[in-house]
Amino acid sequence: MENKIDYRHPILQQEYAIYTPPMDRMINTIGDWIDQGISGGHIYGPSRFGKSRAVKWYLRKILEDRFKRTLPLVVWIRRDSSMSESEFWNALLGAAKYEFHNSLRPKTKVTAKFLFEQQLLTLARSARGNYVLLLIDEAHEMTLKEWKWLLGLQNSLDDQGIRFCVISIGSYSLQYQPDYLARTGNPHIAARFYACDTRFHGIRSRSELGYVLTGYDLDSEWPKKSGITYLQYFAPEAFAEGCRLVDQNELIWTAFEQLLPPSIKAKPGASLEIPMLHISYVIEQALRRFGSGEAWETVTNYHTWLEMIAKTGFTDHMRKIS
Amino acid sequence: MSNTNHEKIKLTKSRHNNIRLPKINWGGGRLNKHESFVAFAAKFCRLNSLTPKQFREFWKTSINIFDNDQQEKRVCLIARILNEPKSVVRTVFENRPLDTSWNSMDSRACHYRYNSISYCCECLDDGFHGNFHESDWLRKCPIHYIDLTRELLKYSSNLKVDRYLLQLLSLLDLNCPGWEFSDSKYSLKIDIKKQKILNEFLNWRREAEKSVTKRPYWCLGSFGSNYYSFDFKPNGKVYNHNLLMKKLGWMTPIPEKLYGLFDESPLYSELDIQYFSKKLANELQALFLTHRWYELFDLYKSVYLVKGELRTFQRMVEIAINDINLAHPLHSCDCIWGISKIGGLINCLPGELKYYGNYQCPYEIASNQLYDRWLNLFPNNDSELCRKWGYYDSLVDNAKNNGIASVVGYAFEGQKPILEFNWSNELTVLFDNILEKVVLAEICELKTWVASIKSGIPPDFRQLFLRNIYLVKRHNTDLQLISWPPSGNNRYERY
Repeated sequence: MENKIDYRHPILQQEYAIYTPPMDRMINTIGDWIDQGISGGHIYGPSRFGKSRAVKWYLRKILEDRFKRTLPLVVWIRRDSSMSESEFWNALLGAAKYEFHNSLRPKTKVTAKFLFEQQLLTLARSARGNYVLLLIDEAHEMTLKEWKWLLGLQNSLDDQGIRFCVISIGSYSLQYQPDYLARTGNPHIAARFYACDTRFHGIRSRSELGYVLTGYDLDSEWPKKSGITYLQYFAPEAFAEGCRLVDQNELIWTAFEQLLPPSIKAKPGASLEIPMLHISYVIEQALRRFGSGEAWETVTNYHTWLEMIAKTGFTDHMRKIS
Repeated sequence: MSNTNHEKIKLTKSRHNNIRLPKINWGGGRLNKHESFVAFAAKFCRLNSLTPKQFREFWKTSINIFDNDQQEKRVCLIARILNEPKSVVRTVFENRPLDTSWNSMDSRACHYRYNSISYCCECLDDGFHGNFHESDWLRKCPIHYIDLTRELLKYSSNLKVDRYLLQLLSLLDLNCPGWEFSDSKYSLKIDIKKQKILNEFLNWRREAEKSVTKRPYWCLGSFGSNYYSFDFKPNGKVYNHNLLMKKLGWMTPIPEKLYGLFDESPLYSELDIQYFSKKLANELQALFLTHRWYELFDLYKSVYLVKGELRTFQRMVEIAINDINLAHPLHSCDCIWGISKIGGLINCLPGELKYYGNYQCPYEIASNQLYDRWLNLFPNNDSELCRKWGYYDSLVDNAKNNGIASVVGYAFEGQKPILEFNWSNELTVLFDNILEKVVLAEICELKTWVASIKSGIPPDFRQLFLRNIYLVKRHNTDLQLISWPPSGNNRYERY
């Protein structure tokens, strides 16, 4: 059995995403913002909850499906913490996957800005509309200068009849940004780019967890077009016998509850919110163990779940982010 | 929240599983119908901040991956990349069989193609440059009905094809600032009446192009002021007889209303058509297996010079040289231009040229050129003499080995063989006829050149003489040598 596992499997490479209810809510919220034509909004949530995966794997596809057209969207996953204007515009050109962008031979700031503006115009024209969207992941790293550059771009596009919306996604610290901007003499930036907000949650209920587990059971596939789900790949016999991870929903949820730090449990009105990362770590461990020949019953008993969740550092992580 | 989203995702995935299209700055609606390729390239370069060279490289790797016969695929790809309707893309990027308007930026294209740029001033004011503005047979703009302006390319170290684009860029910047940002729907502000003429012209062009593509004419050779024919390939594939077709007006009669647009009206009456038998076509085809046109003509004229018997075309050259010398005796030369053998120029006062030993006046150059090309067996220069006779010997050997000629004697103290051709009399007549017409065209071109210098144009600018002699064959018919009087294109280009 062990020998049959292909190391290129997305589970082993950790290069995959499972669609989750919080992702769905976030994407729908962005869709609603597009409908409303807002000039900017932000989405915040603790790290490792699955925001970036939602952006990388699902956002564009689901929104395009909703709007039935190509979405004039540039997704920028911010990497450097501070940058010059030239680096800023060049990074945006790179994010737009602009054909003539070469990170080793960056353009001057004037050229890069012009090209990015033209790219946004192109996107808007190609979508036969006058709305274009920039989505910034890790937006808590944005500096005041950068917001001002974007403000200038928004004004210029506005002048050409194009409405430019900036959606920021980042950690908790992002929710304090509008206040900070307003109090430091830049309320116009806060008003433009932080007009709406929403929180990105973790997995908050047994039913949500069940939905995620169904993703591994049924709504996943590798190799492409093979019809083989992730669970089926690693535990074919158990899968054939009708074993499903979703049936472990209760046990896993209880194990997570048990490992929640006492400080959080003690808070009034506290409820469990599991980061998606820890769920995926646990399931990946379980799948690897199935793949290496361990029996379904051995891997799926309560103590094994507890042990595997503990190994993910869940308790420490929750203590840090609470 | 249901599983439908998962299904949706799968559906979307398959919809997006297409080939990767380059993400460039353009956006639908920017391409003008019937815009010239260079105008598109200029706009593309500006919106993407590219140099012409970068644009050429992009075009070569992204678009020119399809051969010429895969035009529909090419159109589809361009339409997808630019996000423009196919109907508009076709008008800009499809091959134009009727004229020399270019739809690619080929740095290897013939050097004479990008010497000058032509445009309509009023169209340029609207930020528009049409592909018909580049036609060398059009005099007026079919939109505004005003004369097209032709400008020589400014010199720079860039490739000609790049200079062509840069010159259009600067013209557009000068005449229509912000042209690159205008939408196609706003760029042409023409009234309905003018649109009518444009439509009539476009309809005619469409029909004419169809007919050029369909007619199975085989062009065995085309000549002008020289006999280097590039239109014939030994495998029999014809790839350029457009000039002939257009000149004859055979394709589609030009509506009378449109006559004024054209450089010249169709030559229905001035044509000279000589008919030759089908047998001669076969004889020529056989000859082309081992020889090219210019080799046959070089051999033909040299053999008679060695023999000491001048053919009519050679006598025509003698007469022309005499005429030049009589009209412009060297001792009373008052030319203000001198040209050296290697092409250098000097400008001097009348009568002073005699003090510049290495320079000759244009008349002397013209008569020497005629003499050297047609009558001179013994060039002054040793290396030139060696080259000429070495070439003659190789032509003779080749002719003997292929059985097209036999040695019947020797000239120049037994050193050079005298040949007699083993081909038909009809072929001799054909050769004489072609060469007479070529000589006539060359004399005309030289006379025009000398006259232009007299009128103040520097000697390094010449009018290009278009090909006016075509040997064609229609399927299963006789061979026809069709010609019309030689004429220039009224454009002075650096020679």
